[in-house]
Amino acid sequence: MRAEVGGASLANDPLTRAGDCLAGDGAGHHKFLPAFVHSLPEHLPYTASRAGMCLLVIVSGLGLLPGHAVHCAEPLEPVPQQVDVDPAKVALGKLLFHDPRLSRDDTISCATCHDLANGGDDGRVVSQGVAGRKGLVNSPTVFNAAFNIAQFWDGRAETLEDQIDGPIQNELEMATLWPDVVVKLEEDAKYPGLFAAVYPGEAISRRIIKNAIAEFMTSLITPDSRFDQWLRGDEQALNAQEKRGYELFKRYGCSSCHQGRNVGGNMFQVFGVINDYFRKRGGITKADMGRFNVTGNEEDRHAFKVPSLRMAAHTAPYLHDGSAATLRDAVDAMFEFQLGRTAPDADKDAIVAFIRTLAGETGGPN
Amino acid sequence: MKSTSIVFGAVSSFLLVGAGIALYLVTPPAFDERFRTAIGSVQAMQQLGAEWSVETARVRADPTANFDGLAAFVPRMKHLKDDLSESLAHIPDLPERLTADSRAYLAAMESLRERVERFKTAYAVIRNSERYFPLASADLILRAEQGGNKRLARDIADVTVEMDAYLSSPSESAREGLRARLQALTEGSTDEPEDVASSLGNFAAHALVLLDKRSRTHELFRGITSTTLSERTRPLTDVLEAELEERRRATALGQQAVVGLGAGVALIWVVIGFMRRSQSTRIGSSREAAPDIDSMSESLLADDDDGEDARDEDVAVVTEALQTMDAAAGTVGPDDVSRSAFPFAARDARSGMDTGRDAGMDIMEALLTTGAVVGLMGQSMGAYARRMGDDLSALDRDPDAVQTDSDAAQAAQRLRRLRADARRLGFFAHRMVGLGRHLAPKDRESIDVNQCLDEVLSRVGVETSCVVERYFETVPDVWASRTEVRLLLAMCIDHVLRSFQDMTSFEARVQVRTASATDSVTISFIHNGEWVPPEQRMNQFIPFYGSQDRPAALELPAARHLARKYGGTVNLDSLPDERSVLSVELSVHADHATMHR
Repeated sequence: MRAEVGGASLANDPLTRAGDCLAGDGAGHHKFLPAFVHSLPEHLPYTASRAGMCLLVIVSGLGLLPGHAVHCAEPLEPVPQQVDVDPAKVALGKLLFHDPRLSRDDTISCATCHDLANGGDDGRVVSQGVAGRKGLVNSPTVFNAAFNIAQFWDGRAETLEDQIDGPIQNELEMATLWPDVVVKLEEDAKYPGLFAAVYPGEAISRRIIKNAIAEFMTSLITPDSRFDQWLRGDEQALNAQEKRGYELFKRYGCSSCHQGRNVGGNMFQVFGVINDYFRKRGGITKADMGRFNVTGNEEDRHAFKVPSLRMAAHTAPYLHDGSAATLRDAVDAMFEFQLGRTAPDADKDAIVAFIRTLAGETGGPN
Repeated sequence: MKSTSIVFGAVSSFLLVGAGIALYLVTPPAFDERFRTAIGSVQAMQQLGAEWSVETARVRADPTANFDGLAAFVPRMKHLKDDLSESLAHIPDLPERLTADSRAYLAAMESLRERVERFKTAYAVIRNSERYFPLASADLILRAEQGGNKRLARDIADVTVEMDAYLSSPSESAREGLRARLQALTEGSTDEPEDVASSLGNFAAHALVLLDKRSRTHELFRGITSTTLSERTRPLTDVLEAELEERRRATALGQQAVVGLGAGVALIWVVIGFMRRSQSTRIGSSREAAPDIDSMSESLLADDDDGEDARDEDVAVVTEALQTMDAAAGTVGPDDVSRSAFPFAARDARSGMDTGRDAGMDIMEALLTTGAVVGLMGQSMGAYARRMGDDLSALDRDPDAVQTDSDAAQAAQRLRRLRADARRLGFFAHRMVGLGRHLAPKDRESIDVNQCLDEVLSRVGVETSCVVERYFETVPDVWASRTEVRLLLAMCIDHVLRSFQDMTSFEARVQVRTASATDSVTISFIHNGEWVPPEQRMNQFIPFYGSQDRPAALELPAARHLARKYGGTVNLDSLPDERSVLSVELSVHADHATMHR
C-alpha cells in the first residue's frame, strides 16, 4: 500500500508501509509509519496527528479517497524522482565518465561500455577494452546502479566509488594506472580549474576522481517509467498484456528475486538454483563462479548479483555471459534454471512486455 | 637579595614549567570523542542489528515483500563499522582485550550481514518452491493420471504427503527417505513422456530445494533474530566506558599535576613578591615617614615664606637636614631599590657574579639596613633638634640678639616657632630612632668573631675579587646578634671591595686581622685600595654624605651604628699610596651592648 502526499512519493522508502502503521517498537515510535508522519510539527499532539495521518494513508491506500488508485504493497516500487547529489560534482563526473583519457591508450571511456544513450551498456556479449581486448562478462547497465546492494556481477565492490577501481585498472578494460590518469588530468587545460572549483584545496587525486564519477553515476536514475506511473495510480500507463505480464511476473515467482525499486540488484542468487545452467551450457570459466570468487564460500558458487530489470528493454544481450540474445531468451532461461517451471509462450511474452515497461527516463532531473 | 630571589624564582619556574610541559606531553589525552564515537557506533550497530532482525521477520512473514528494506541496512552498517574501526584505530595504546572485543563485535556484525544475505538468497528460492511445490504436485498427478500412469500419480501423492509431514516436523531420517524416493522418481522419469519427465524433474528439484534449504533458511533466520549481537554489545560498551573512564582519570591526574606545578610557579612568585613587598614595606617605613618629613618641610618652608628671613641660617640648617633625610628616603624607596642601596649589591655589581649567598641572609640584611638607615636618620634629626634648641636657648638668654630685629614682636614669634619646630623635630627623631630599634633584631648570642668573620668572608666571596690574607688571633666571644655582626662585617668588606672598584693597575689585596684587648675585640681590614683623603674620612660615616662621588656610601655609617650597639666603633685610617685600615671594635661584655644614642 502506497500513498502520495504533496507530490512526494512515500513508496520510495521500503519501510513506509501503511499496513505496518500500527507496528511499533514499544516506545511510542512507530517504525513503519510513513516518514512524513514522523516529520509532523512537534507541537501537534502526537497521538491525534499521527494516528490521523496514518488513517489517511490506510484509507487512501484502500482507494477510498477520490482520485488515482495507488498500487501499494507490491514487491516492486517506483524509482525515486530524484536523488540527493551535488550538481557540481555530477557535472565534473560526467566529463570524466566520458573522457577516454581514463584508459591507457586514450581510447576507452566509461561511456564506451556504458553508453548512456543505449540503456547504459554497450550491447555486446562481453565488453571490449583497450586494444580490442574482450572482457569476461556482459556489461551491466550503469543506470540505477546506485540502488544496487553491490557492484559487479559478483558484488566485489560495495560502493560505486570502490567499483571505479575495477574497470580503470583492469587489463581487459581501461588498463591504466591511477597515477597516469592523475597526470593526464593535471596536464589538461580545463580539469585543474574544474577540480579546484568542485574540490577546493585538494589536488587532483584518485579519491576525488572516483568521488566525482560516483556522484555522476548516482545521478543516473530512470524515474517515471510507465510501470512506475501505473504504480503511482495511472491505470492507463500499462496495457492489458503488460498488466497481465506483471501479475504473471509475480505469480511465477520472478519477483522473488527481481523486486524492489530496481527490480533486482538488492540480493545475490545462485544461477541454476533449480536446474544446473552451467552443466547444460558447459565451458565453465572463472567468471562463471560468480560470488564464489569473492567469498570463497561454497554456497556462493555460481551466485551473482540479481541484475536490475529496469533498463532490460535496452540492454541486450542478457545474463552474465551474454548468452541470452533477447529478452525472451533470458526469460526462457530464467523459467528453466531459476524457476523450474514451464509456462505458455503467451505468458512469457506478457512477462517480456511487462519488463519493457520498466525503463524510465534517462534524462531526468539529475 | 633582589637578584638572588629573582634568579631563584626564574630557575624554579623554569624547572617547574619544564616539568609541567613534560608532564603535559607525557599525560595521554583521554580521546573522549573517539571513545564516544566508538561507543555510539556500537550502540547504533546494536540498534541496526535489532532493526535488521525486525525487518527480516517482516520480510519472512510477507511472501510478497521485497528486500530493499534489508538491503538498505548494508550501507548503514558499513558506515557504522567504518566509524567504529576508525575511532578505535585513532586511539593509541588500546588494550589488547578491547581490540579483540571490538574485532569480535565487527565480525559478529559482518556475520549478521552475511546471514541476512544468505537468508535472502535462500528465502527467495524457498518461498517460490513452497508456493510452487503443491502446484507442481497437482500438475504432475494430473498429467500422470491423464497418461494412465497411476503408479506415478500415487508415488507423487505419497511424496507430497511425506513432504508435508517433513515440513511440519523435519527429521534427518525423513529427509534421507524423501531424497531416496525423489532420486528414484527422477531416475525413472526417462521412461515417461517428455512433458511428464520435465514436470517430474521440476517437481523433484523444488522438493530438493525444500529439503536442503528450508532448514538452513530457518537456521539463518534464527541467527539473524538471535540476541547474540545485543549480548555482545553491553560488555563491549562497558569495556569501552571503563577504558574511557580510566583514561579520563589518568588525564585528569596529569592535568591536576600540571595545574599544581603552575600553582607552584605562581606561589613561588607570590612568595618572592611578598618578600620583596615585605622588604619594601620595611624600607617603606622610612618611606612612609617621607610624607611626614615632606609635610613638616612644607610647613617649615611655608612658615618661612611668611617671614622676611627665609634664608635664616637656622632654618637653612633644618631644611638641609630634612632635605638630606628626604633624599635618603628617596634613595631607598620601594620603587627605587637600586643595587647601590645595599652593600652586597654593590659588591656583586662590581664582581659581576652572583655569590649564591643564602636568601635568608639577604632578607635579614635588607631589614637590618632599613633599621640602620632609619635609626641613623633619627640620630641625625635628634642632633639637629638639640642644636636648634641650644641655639634658641642662647638667643633667648641674649635679648640683644633679638633687638637687632626691626620688629621685636615678630622676632619673638619666630623664636616661639623655632622652639616649636625643634620640639617637632625632636619628637620625629625619637620616633625614627624607635622605629630603627623596632626593626633591629634582638636575638643575641655568644659569637666567635673569627668563625663569624671567616664565614662572612667565604659567603661574600672576597677571594674572587682580591687576595685575602687572614691573621686571626684567639679572641673572646662577643655577646651580640649574629646577624648584625655578620652584617657589620659584610658592610666593612663591602666598603673594602668598593675601594677596589676603580683600581685596575695593581693586584687588590686585603689583610684581615683579629686581635683582642682587655674588653674588646678588634677586627682590621688592611687593604691597598683607594686612598681616602683625611678631610673625607669622617664624612664616610655620615649617611649618604658621599652620594655624589661615592654613590650609596652607606656601609660605614651603618657599620659604625651597629658597632656602637655593642659598645664598639668603626674607624678608618688611610695613607696615601700605601694602604688603608678599616678597624672594627666590639665590646666583649654584654653590659656594653647597649644602644648608642
